[in-house]
Amino acid sequence: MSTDESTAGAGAPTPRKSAGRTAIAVVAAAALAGTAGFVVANSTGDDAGSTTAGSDTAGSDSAESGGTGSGDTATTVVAADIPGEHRGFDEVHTEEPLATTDWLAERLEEGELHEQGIVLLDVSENLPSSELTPYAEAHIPQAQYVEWSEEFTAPNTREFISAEEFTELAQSLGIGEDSTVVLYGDNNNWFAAYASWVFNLYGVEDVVLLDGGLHKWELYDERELVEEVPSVPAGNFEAKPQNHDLRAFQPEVLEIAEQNTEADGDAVAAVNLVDIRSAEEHDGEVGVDPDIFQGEGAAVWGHIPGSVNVTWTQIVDEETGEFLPAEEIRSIYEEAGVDFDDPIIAYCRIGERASHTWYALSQILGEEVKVYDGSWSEWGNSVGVPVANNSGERAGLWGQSGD
Amino acid sequence: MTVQVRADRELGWTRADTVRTVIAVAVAAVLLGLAGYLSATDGEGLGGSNAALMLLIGAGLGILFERGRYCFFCVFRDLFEKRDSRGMYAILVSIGVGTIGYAVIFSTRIPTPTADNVPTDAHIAPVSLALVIAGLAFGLGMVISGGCIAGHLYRLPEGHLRSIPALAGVVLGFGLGFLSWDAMYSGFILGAPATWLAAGNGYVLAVLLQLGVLVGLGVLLLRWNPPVQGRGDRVVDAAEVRRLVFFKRWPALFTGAAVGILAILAYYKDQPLGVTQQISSMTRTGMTEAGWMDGFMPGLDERLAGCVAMVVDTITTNGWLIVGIVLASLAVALPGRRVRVEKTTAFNSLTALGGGVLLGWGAMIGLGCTIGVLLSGTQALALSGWVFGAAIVVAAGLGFRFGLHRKAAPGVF
Repeated sequence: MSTDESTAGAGAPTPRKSAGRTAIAVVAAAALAGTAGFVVANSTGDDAGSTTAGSDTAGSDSAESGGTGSGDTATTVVAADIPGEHRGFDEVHTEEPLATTDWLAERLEEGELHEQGIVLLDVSENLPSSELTPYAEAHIPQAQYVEWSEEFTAPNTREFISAEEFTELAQSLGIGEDSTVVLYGDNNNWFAAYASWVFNLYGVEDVVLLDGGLHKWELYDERELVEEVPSVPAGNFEAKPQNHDLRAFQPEVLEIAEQNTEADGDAVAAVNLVDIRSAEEHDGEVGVDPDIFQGEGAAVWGHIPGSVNVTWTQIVDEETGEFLPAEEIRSIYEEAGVDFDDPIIAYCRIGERASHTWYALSQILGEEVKVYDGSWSEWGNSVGVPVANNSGERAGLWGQSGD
Repeated sequence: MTVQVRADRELGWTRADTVRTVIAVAVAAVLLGLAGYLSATDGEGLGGSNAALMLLIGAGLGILFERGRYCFFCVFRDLFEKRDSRGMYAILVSIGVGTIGYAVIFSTRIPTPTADNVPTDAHIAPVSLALVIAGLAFGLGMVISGGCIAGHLYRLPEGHLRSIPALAGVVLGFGLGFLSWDAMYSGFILGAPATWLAAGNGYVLAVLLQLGVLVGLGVLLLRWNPPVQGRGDRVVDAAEVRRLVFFKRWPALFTGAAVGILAILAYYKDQPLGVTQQISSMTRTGMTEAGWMDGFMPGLDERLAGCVAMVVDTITTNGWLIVGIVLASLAVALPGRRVRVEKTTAFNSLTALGGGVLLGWGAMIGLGCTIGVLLSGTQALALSGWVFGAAIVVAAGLGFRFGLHRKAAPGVF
């Protein structure tokens, strides 16, 4: 195609040659149309297969690499020591695990929360994309802020602060032996739920979530926010060692995963694994977006063999952000394949959304539930552990899925 | 045989030219200064390290759009009304050049193209009835409002004041698009195949097919190629260069090839060309903040490729692209005496607004516009680009045939 050609072509067509030209044009057009039909059919045909594939087909394609071969085996899962004890669930389960925004508003009307034995804490993620007001700008009256990433985690180690340090933190927040700790946050209480799990881990007994979190208070109820930061008298709470009945570590999960792997990925172990990430992450079709969740990436994509996938969004009311009624939550998990006669371990990417599910299953339903807080950012980066992938291809660092 | 050629009019230099040139130089300085600043600060908080590059690519597009009249409205109007297909060649060439470049980039990232590894960052969208409806609405909106979205962006500095209500309409249209998205998505788009021509066929076959189609269209369009007027013998001196650069329309083949190269650069370094992402994202952010819609949109936020709206707080590289187009178009239109305020009435502003709504709605449902879906889509070997383009051509053809552009703006054309 060039201008020379085009000007020549438009000159003065001679009628005699037009029959030959038409024939050539028809043949060329037919060939082109034929190729186009072939190419489109070829690419579309493939595509239909790939978009529908995905869900439950290949339970644990790549889970066979567990190391059952002959010869010596080496142990890869590290044995780091984490102090704690087993105190059961009696002190964990709470009679009324959820506070309504109405209840909180009444308490605020009544006066100082610390005089009523209540400690109100905002634990938020503060993503720039959040539509909710960050604590620094305005917050629920009398709320104190706890920065999850700094205040209850140890520096440069993937572990929480020690019990002594937790005592210090809790006392500075005004938590006493009989305090009711009310937590709320943005993003459907993800990090507030995470905090509630950590607080329970260290033996704070009366921890409740503000149902619906900041979303319900600020956007749905349109209640007041203030800038004033409260000062509260110090509390007398003494932290206990971590309650490891609430916390699962990798070796324990590995045992379950290996049992399930031997059964071709079926959930045969007497412990339920609940993966609360998105279906695409569970299936191994996608990893994490490194632009948003830097540091949460995994080298291998997929799920722990035998885990059921119930995305956390399914158990909250879309409009208010409140948890659904307990029986609805129970039936959602039952339908997904959770056997409530067995204990449950929940995991996600870093443990915070799994805490949200932990809250629903343990605190609202009263079941025995652990959070595997190492979650996919530990599992998907560990050498040698079994991984199930439903996408039908190698995914992640060694796959062809790109980023 | 002597051929009578019309002598070129003396250009001369008036006081107004001095003023225009000073303004143009100032605008260009602002543009380059901005690029320098973004480059020096690495676009920190202002779109990131690609901000300066995308601003300059936008500037390049602005220059090419303005000087080459790479405007889908103008090109289709010439074709359907004046039976002049010359502008179409710029579009065909830009698709052809871009296709080859895209294929080269794809091949370094995805050696074996299959339906399972469709490049997610390229504009390869589901082919569904919704795409056809969106294309028809977009084409109609283009005829009524007097330009496509990119066209309005570069024609606004030329004094095409109808672009203001038209772009306002685009924002409204995006809003309506967001509100009707759920219905369109669940009704048509969900489950529709995002056909990528390279999948299963390899790059060679797909590229050859597309080039074949482009050549075929090129041959077909020769029927409407009017005779070329000759120009007299001339010396290439400063005056001739000034005439060629600022007054004569740049050749279609040059414009098309340059647009194709810029498209390749943009995709290679940042993201495919498109002009609606920033506008639609701002619309969406505004609506979300006002509580008119949910923060999460099924389908849109999960996996669809295109000029998709995200909730944003700041300017993105796409915003800089638009800034580049507008400023550069102004800077090159001025020295060619092409900035003229056009006749604007209440009626033709209103029709521009209405046309803009159609443009915005079509661009939202189609996940992009003539640049984002038609150009960047076809270059990426996506069937969606062709389908959207065909729908636009059909709607534009009918619109021009029935003279909708004249009815919408009496006395302008």
